[in-house]
Amino acid sequence: MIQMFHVYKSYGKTPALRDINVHIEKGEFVFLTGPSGAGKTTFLRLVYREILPTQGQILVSGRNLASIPNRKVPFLRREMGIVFQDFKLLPHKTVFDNVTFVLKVLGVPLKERKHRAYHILRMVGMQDRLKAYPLQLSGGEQQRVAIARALVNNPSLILADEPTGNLDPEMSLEIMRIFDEVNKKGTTVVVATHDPTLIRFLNRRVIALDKGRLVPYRG
Amino acid sequence: MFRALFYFIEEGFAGLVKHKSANLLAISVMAISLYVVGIFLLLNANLSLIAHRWQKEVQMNVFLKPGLKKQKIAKIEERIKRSPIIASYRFISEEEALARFKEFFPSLAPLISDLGKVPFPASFEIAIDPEYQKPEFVEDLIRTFSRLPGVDEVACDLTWIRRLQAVIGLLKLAGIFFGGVLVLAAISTTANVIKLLVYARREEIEIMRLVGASNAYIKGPFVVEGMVQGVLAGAFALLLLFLSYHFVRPYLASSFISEFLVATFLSKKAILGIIAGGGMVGMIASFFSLGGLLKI
Repeated sequence: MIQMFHVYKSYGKTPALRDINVHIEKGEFVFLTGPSGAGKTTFLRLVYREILPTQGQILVSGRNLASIPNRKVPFLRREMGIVFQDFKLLPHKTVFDNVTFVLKVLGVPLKERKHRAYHILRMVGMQDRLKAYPLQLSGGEQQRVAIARALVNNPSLILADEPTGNLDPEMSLEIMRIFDEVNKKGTTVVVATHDPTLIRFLNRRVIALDKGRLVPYRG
Repeated sequence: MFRALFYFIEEGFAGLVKHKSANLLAISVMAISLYVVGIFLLLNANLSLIAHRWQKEVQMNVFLKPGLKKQKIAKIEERIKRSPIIASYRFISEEEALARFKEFFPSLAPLISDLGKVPFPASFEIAIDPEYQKPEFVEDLIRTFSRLPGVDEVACDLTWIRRLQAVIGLLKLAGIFFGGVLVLAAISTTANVIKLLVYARREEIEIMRLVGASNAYIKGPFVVEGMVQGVLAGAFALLLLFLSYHFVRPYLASSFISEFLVATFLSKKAILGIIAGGGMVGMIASFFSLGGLLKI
């Protein structure tokens, strides 16, 4: 699903990632861990092509990201679901509108949007809050809406950047359970976290980074 | 295509309602810019109107020799009638000239009566077609009429025509120049305000990009929003202009220059222009303000 070959990324003169070689298989669940500043976010931003590597090649679903023109990037992103620590929901749109935004952009009819939103929100336990606005929800609820948004277009890849960073431990485990469920249905999941409890909880492959380099994980 | 357009319009209007205060700011800034442009257009329209009215009053006087026979007068009239550059003409007989003099200078009237004969020559008062009020045409006409038998003198204030021509030319040039500067100022002010407003909504734009919305889908609603803002601003500016016009007009009418002023409001074309121009300015400003935030 994701292949990185000798990937380097630096911001100006500051190196963020150095010589990264990684293969993540289709359908795999991988944790990306390391202390803050290790390069986890840079790793994910490279995968969703927010940035391009300074050196090296990245393939996602067999496509070389460097050769995708800017105007085609939205199509790449529609095959992915991205979840952030700060949820990034549109504050003036309802839960329903947030979740179905991408479907609307894709021209999915309202009836179908309703059906898919309900289905996906039931999966994350938010089916009763369709008309609520993000600020009326707790952090855990907002993150579940954000996950629903990431899932609604049936992506083949889910990228989550510290998705539980703002949540209490119990809610964090609940979020992990949702990701696990999604993964069991065949979606590749990459979760960046520095929380060892979560990693132990699911016991999946771990890619560890430190100061921009791959290091062996010592759980 | 229609689906996208419908989406842009729906989201554009939703954005207008949701970001009321920010949009009000943008509309106010645009309205003020357009108001300034409008005031300028109004001044220009009125000044041109005055210039044109003066132009109509530019006249040529063909004075006839005293005691000329009717036949000869008719011949001269025939010649005047034939000239294509003459808009209208009027024959003033000696008696009429005298009556006019008495009307204008009543205190001097007894003096004339004492003279016993009419001291004023008969004449033709000729209005020249504004199209042909150029020195070369007028000079030619003066030469032609002076040579006609029975014509004593041809008078026409050429310098007056030259000055008027210069003033009209200057007005047109100033109109193009200042109008252009004001429109550019309006565009840049609006673009900057919209840029700030767009910047305030950069998170929203970022989220749209991350969920895979194409640039066109992100821009569309903003462009519609900008266009509606512009049209509203144009309408608002026109309302302000109209109120100012009605406030200022009576004041001008009572002043000494009222005689020169035939106040007019903007033409339908200019009114439509301000509204459509507002829409265009809003659209263009939104379109370009988003550019920087959409780089991948």
